[in-house]
This record gives sequence, structure tokens and C-alpha cells, in this order.
Amino acid sequence: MKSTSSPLQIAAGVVLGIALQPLSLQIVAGYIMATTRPGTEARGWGLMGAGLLYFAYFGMVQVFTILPAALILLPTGKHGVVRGLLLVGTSLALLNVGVLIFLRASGWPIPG
Amino acid sequence: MRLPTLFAVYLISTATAIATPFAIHEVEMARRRMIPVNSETPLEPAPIQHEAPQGAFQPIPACQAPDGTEYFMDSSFSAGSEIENRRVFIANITVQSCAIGKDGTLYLVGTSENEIWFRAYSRSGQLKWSIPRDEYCSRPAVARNDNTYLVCTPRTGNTQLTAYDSDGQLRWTLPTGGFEWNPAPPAIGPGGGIYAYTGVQSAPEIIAVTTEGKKLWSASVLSQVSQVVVGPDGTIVVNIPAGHSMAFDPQGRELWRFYSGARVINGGLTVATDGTVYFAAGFLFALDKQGNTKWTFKPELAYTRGDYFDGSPVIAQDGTIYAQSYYRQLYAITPQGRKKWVTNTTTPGPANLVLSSDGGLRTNWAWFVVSSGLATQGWPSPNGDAQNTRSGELE
Repeated sequence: MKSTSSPLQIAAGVVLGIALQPLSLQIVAGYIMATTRPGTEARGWGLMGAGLLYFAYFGMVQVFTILPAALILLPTGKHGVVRGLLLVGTSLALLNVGVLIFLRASGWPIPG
Repeated sequence: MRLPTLFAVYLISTATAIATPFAIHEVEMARRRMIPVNSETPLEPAPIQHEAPQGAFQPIPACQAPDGTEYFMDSSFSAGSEIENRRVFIANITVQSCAIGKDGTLYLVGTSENEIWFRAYSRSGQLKWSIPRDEYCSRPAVARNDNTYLVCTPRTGNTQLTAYDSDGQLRWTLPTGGFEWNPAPPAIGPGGGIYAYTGVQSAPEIIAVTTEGKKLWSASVLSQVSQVVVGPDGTIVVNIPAGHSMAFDPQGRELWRFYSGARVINGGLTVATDGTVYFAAGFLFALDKQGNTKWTFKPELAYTRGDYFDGSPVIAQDGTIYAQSYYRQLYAITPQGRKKWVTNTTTPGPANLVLSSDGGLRTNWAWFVVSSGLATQGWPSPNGDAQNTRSGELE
């Protein structure tokens, strides 16, 4: 299959990458909902912790969505979309590194 | 950029993001390991060690009256067993916390017959008043005029700060929000102002409240607060179990924040007369008024057994700081950070420490007679003074 890459595809990849981000939180939340009973403390703490860790480690959790999406799209030849996805993932990862260093330097605790 | 290169950059960036928290942790651990263990020869031998009395009574007094009377609970945290040479004071109650007013009135938070209450007893043991509270309540703070303040969380949620007058009449209630099973007790400053942790997890704050129940200011803190203390100059210092302490001036402006590098649940704060903050959080840190480290004291077994300081240190009138580690090594430390003496016990256990006004130093496992009683100024013990009033009000 002939590979294609255009600015439009890259933009589509960027949009797709951003749109996929809440999915990892939903996956974790879905797992917690499936393994805990309604109204229990375990479910409450689990959902709260998952939310907190998602915002603290967004640069890590992107790997659950960006990498699979990129690997799925790679054989289809839409390299522009893959590029867009990887750009989003790289940006989120580097931004997360900056945020964690900034938090630590400012005296804020790093969750986990 | 070629796609394989972009893939490589992406993978390296993601790996960096994953490794960053571990790297930060390792850097902090390396910094902590650079602080040498205090292995100097003690300046003097440890005082004679007396075994803690065995029996039904707790070895640590619940509180001490201004006249020197010490109140103990029995092994079930009740005050109702006739044993040894102690007089039974109040029977058939279970006490959670105890504070004593300047006239000797006992303020107790406790339970009896499945009722939770906040009570005042006269120094002769007569019940003065009792307030039923079907709630999770903190220790009380007792003002010089015998007004009392405590933070309670109803079972329905939404924590509140409540004030009572000396007759047990409700003065005011201030909702502070959040839900706490173990609310951090309030503290009273030199001017009579009340400081409390709000307990709202999403936006944790320290609030300042007037004696009339009006909120003066609020200041953000890093996360849940376990201890609020007030220095002699009105500086409010909070202990955050994630290993932080933060200080605020009486107007609510943040003065400094300090990170010990260790997450210690049972750490604690005390403040000396000169404003030095002693922060037990893994090691014992002496912090000046700018939050800078004056000295750090690392327990001898820190490397060999992973020992750490546990519980709040206490400060004697002569400036000596007493601090106990998890392995029950009890240290007396000079205000300059020198090792005055140390006990050589190495059995792990709870690290409660109480210094009476006449120089009786009690731990869970032994008691000692030391050169000086508890300091009378500053915030020399976890609950402020020997009476646990949690008040730094000036005379």
C-alpha cells in the first residue's frame, strides 16, 4: 500500500490524538467500575485516585491510546495521521516531564 | 523528520515521562543520603531508665493539670480501673482526647454507652456539662477564657468548626467543608485567633477565624494537613504527611514551605521559643524563621535498619529537644543539633513522648527524669503545652 502524508493528514492525526486522550481515563474508570460494587469505598477511592493520577501523569497514559492507534494506522499507509499522533504523544510526554519538574521545584508533592 | 525517527523520538519522550517521577525520587533520596548519620559521642550519659509501669494503665498520661496531676487512661482507654497507686477519677468512659483549662477543668472527647460526647469535668471529677456529638471530632482547643473549639465531621459529611463557651453553650458553628474521619484539631494563636484545616480535598486550605466565628482569611496548602501549630510570633506552621511543612504569617501570607524528602504519616512539628521549628519527618530538621535548615539530625540506625523519627519531638525549658525514633532510640538533642544523650533500645514500637512540667519524660516503654520540664513558651509539644490546650495565647 502506498504511504501518504499531507498537512491535512497530520492535522487529522493531531485532532485524533487529542480526542483519544480521555479514553485512557475511561478505560481505567471502566475497569474500576467493573471490579467494584456500587456505593463502596473502594469504588470511590479508585475513581478519585484514577482521576488524580491521570492529570498528574498525562504524558505517560497517552501511551495507552497514541501507540496502539499509531500501530493500527501504520499498515494502512496513512503516515501523515501517524505523524500527527506521534507529535501529540511526544508533546504530551515532554510537557508532562516539564510539569513534574516544575511541581517538584515549586515544592508541590508528586502524587503516587 | 522521517517516520522511524519520529517514532524513536516519541518512544524516548514517553520513556522519559515514565522515568521522571522515579528519577526525581532517586535525586531526592541521593540528597537525603548525603546527610551524614549523627554518630558523634553523646555529650553526657543517658539518665536512669525506669521501666514503664506494667498493668492496665497506659504508660503515657492523657493530659496533665497545671498543678502537676497527671490523668491516665487504662488499657481500653477508659478511666475506670482501680490499680496501683492511682486514684480512679472517672469510671466507665472511653476517652479519645483530653485537654485541661487553666482552672483545672478537664475537657474530654469520648464515648460511653454508645454515645459520643464532648464533656467538661471539674478538677474534683464532677460533670459540669456534656454535649452529645454523633460525629468524628478532633481534640479540643481551649482558650484562656475557657471557650473551647473543636472540628467535627457529622456522619452525613461536611466538616465544621464549633465554638462553645465555658458553660458548654454553643457559641457558633462554621462549616469548613470536606469529610474527615480524623479531623486535624484547631490551634489558637497568640492573639486568640483560631486556625484550622478546612478538609476539602479538592482545595485544601488553612483558615483563620475570629473568636466570634468570622472567617478572616484562607490560604492554600499542598494537601491534607495533620497538624496545625502556632509559633510565639503568630506564625502558623502546618504538617503535611506527604513530608512537607508550610508556614504562614498571621495575615495568611505564605512564608515558606519545606520538603523533608520522606512521606511520614506519624511525623510532627513543635516550635521553640525563638521560633525555630523542629520537624520530625524521617530525620529531625531544625528550621529557622525563613524555613531554611539550621541542622538535620539523622538517627544512628537510619542506614542499618531504616530507622526514622516517629511522632512529634518535645522541647524542654532549657532548649533540649527530645525525639524518639521508630526503633525506640530516644535522643536528647541540644538546640545546636548536638547529641546530648541517646538510649540504646532497638525494639520497634509506637513513639509517643510526653514531657511533664517537672521534667518527667515518659515513653511507651520507659520513663526518665530529665534536667528540665516542658518549655512554657512557643509550641513545645504536639498539642501546645502540658495541658494539651493547643493554645499559644499570650497572658
